[in-house]
Amino acid sequence: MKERIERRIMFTMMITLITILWQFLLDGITENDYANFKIVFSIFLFITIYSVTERIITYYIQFNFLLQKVLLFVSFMGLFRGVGWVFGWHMPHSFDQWISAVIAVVPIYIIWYFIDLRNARKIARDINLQIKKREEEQSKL
Amino acid sequence: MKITLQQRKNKELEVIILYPELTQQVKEIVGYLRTNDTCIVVKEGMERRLINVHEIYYVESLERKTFVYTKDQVYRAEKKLTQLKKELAIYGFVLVSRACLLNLNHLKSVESIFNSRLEGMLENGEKISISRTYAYQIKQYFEGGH
Repeated sequence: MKERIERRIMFTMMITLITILWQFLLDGITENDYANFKIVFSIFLFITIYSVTERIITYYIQFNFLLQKVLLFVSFMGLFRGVGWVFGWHMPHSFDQWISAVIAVVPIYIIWYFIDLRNARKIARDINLQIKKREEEQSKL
Repeated sequence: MKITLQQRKNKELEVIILYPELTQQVKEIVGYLRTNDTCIVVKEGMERRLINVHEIYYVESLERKTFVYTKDQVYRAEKKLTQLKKELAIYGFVLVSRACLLNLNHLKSVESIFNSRLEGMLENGEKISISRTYAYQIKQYFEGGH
C-alpha cells in the first residue's frame, strides 16, 4: 500500500512539474496561465488526496462495505470542499445544493458498484474453469 | 502423456521426465514432485518440526507473526511471509491478499461475494478472502503466466 500511495504522489508531482515547465516554456507565466495552472494543479491535488484517502480507508475498513462507502463519500465531499475553499471555487453551500450533489454522485456509485461486481464474477468464473480443467487433467493421470 | 513405472530394488527413488518442450504442464509436474521433497521449519509450542510444503493450505501473517495452516492444524513459522512468498512461489503458492499466501493446489473453487471481493473455498472446507488485486495473479497462474 505504501508503494501505491508513493506512486500516486509521485505521479501528481510529475504532472504538476510538467505543467509548470510547460507554462515556462511557452511564454512565461501570465496571470491567465497562472489561473489555468491553479486549476490543473488543484485537480491533480484533489485526485491524489482522494485516491490516497481511498486507499487508507479501504486498507483499514475493508471489512465493512457500508461504512467504507459512507466514509469514502464523506471524505470525497470534504476534500472537494476543502480544495475548493483553498482555490476559491464555487462550492455548494446550502443544504439543498449538498443534497443535489449527493443525488448526482449516488448513481455513479451504483453504476460503478455493478460494473465492479460483474468483473468480480467474471474473474471468479475464469478461475473456476481453470481449476476444473486442472482437476480433469489430474484425474486423467 | 505416457507414464512408465519401473521397479529397481535397493536403489534411490528417481524420477526422469522426458519432454519435447518445457511447457507449463512440465513445470507443474516438477513443482508437484518438489513439494513431496521440500519441508519448512515450524514451531509447535516450544518444539520445532518440519512440515511438507504439500501439506500447507495457506500461510497468514497476523500482527507481524507468520502462521502456517495445514488441513486441521496451525503452526507458527519462523520466516516472514515475504520470505516464504519467494521460497514457495515455485510450489504453487500465490498471494491472495496482503497477508495471505495460498497454496493453489488446495483451492477448490472461487466465488464472488459482497463488496466485489472473492472468496476461495479450500479442500478442507475453509474459506479464504481473496483481494481483487491478487485475483488477477491467480488467474495468470492458472493460465501459465507466472
